[in-house]
Amino acid sequence: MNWQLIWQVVFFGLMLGFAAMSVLVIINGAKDVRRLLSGLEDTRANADNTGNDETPHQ
Amino acid sequence: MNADVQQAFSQTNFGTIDAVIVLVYLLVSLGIGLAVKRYAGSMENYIGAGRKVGTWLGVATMTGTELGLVTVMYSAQKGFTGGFAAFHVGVIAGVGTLFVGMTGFIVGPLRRMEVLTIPEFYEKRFNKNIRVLGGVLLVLAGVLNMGLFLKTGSMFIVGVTGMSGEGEALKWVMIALLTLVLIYTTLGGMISVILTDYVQFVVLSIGLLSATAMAIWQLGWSTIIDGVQMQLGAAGFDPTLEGTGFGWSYIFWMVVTTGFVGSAVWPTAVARALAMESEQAVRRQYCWSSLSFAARFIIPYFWGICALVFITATPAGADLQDLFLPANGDQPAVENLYAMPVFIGRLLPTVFLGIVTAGMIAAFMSTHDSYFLTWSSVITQDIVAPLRKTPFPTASRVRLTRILIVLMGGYVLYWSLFYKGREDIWDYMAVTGGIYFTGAFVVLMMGVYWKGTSSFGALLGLLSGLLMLLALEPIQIAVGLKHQQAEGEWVETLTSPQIGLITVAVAICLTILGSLMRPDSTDSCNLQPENNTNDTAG
Repeated sequence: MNWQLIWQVVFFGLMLGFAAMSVLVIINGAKDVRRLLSGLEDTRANADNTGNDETPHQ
Repeated sequence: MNADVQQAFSQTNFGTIDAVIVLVYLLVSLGIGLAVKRYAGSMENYIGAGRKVGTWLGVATMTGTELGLVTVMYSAQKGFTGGFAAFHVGVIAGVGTLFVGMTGFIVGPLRRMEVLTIPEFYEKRFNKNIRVLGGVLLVLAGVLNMGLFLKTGSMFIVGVTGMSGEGEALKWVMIALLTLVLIYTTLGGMISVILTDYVQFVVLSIGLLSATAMAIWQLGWSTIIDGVQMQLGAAGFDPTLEGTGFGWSYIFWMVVTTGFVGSAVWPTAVARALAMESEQAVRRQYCWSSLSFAARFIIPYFWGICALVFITATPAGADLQDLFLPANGDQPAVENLYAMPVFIGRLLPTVFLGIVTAGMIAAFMSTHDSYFLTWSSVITQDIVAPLRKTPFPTASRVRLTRILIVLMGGYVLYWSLFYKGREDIWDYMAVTGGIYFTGAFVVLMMGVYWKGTSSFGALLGLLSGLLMLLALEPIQIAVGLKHQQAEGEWVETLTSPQIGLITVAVAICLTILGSLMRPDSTDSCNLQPENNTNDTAG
């Protein structure tokens, strides 16, 4: 078995995949952060309106 | 640290601009952590981010948590000693995580049940006592597991910055970093952990990729291959060779530990899955994270390999050869954990070095915050709350969790100075983690997929994990599993991977036997999602 070739393919394949994933995560993760914060803000506002300091359970 | 070592370490490119980059990054992390404090009112928000985390943010936080500085350090050490052969661990981790993502193995059912922690599953599936026992074992193993995080993190900073490892400055830097993590984790809980993880992912991924590209560019691919061949021979590429630190029992042990446990059973990873907005998002998160689970091993392995080649095959690193690989066997070698950071400190130009160091400190912080939060919330939710006779309101739970986080910070500082084992850091991590996961892996898997698993079987399965204590070096020596020969060489009767595999086999047998001997009544378990009573249940 040619281990040198195997690890070379694994390494460069992974580097390409990880680089592509990083770009996707950085762009789409920022959108997820905005959604998370607006969801938490809504939940907090609802809790304030109902006079309850607990977050409603899902 | 003697004068020669200090002199060699001081030849780093780390300068004032790099220090400023690191400082700005730290302030941004702290600012984010403090800004989201107002959302951390309930336990569901505090330890589960309100279960509102989307797929991409989930991938970022999973990567940030599991790719810690300690991971980078122990992986670089494996690459330095094992060469390309160590890559098999990364491949196993990636394939195992992809398998979990495609099948939903263990994490899918857990997310459907809407539990917040693994021991909470034990109570729904078995009973309260199993939940408490599972929580105790998990915390015991988890807290031991993170004992060396600070020490290895400090070694990176020493190596990269050229700072004295024995002076006061390093201790203050580490205390400052720890304090920073404690502040934003205690105040903002999972929400600040996830948001800082995102920023840490950005810095970390840029740092990892740029340093790797720079290493290849500076050393040359063929020099790297030839250097490993010259230093390690075939063992530097073939992981199946016995007697080289790897071999088949090591590979099988890695299939269990990094293949399945690391992704589907390890509580910090599972905590991310349980904070996701849906089961589908969990699966997508795992499929994408398979790349980062492989990268978190393979990239640092590669840095360790490059450090080996830099030291042994290039003129720029020639002065380090006598320190790390002395030709004279009587001369003590410098701890090889320092090899990678010293190499990085000399390889990267200023500014680049600042970004990579900030990335590594990001890795340090993102792992610490998640571990602190996970273990402290398990103590609160799964040990203290079930044992209390009176109601345990949300505010008290959050307060207790915060106090526990601070106590754990003190423990980490203490243990870093106390533990004297001689294992590779990775082996220490696998063994201490194994105390929890060998039993938990079996009980979780069988609890989810075999209806016949009973509380008694689960009890025996969880307790079996304690056999892993036999793989810790001080205990191995105490019970005679490891002894020193007259020539001074240490001999192991059973290696740590062999003890790990035996422990898993014992856990499976005892869980099955216990379940058959003392089955539960058929209506004793409740696997449906509950309208969460976590916050108020006494």
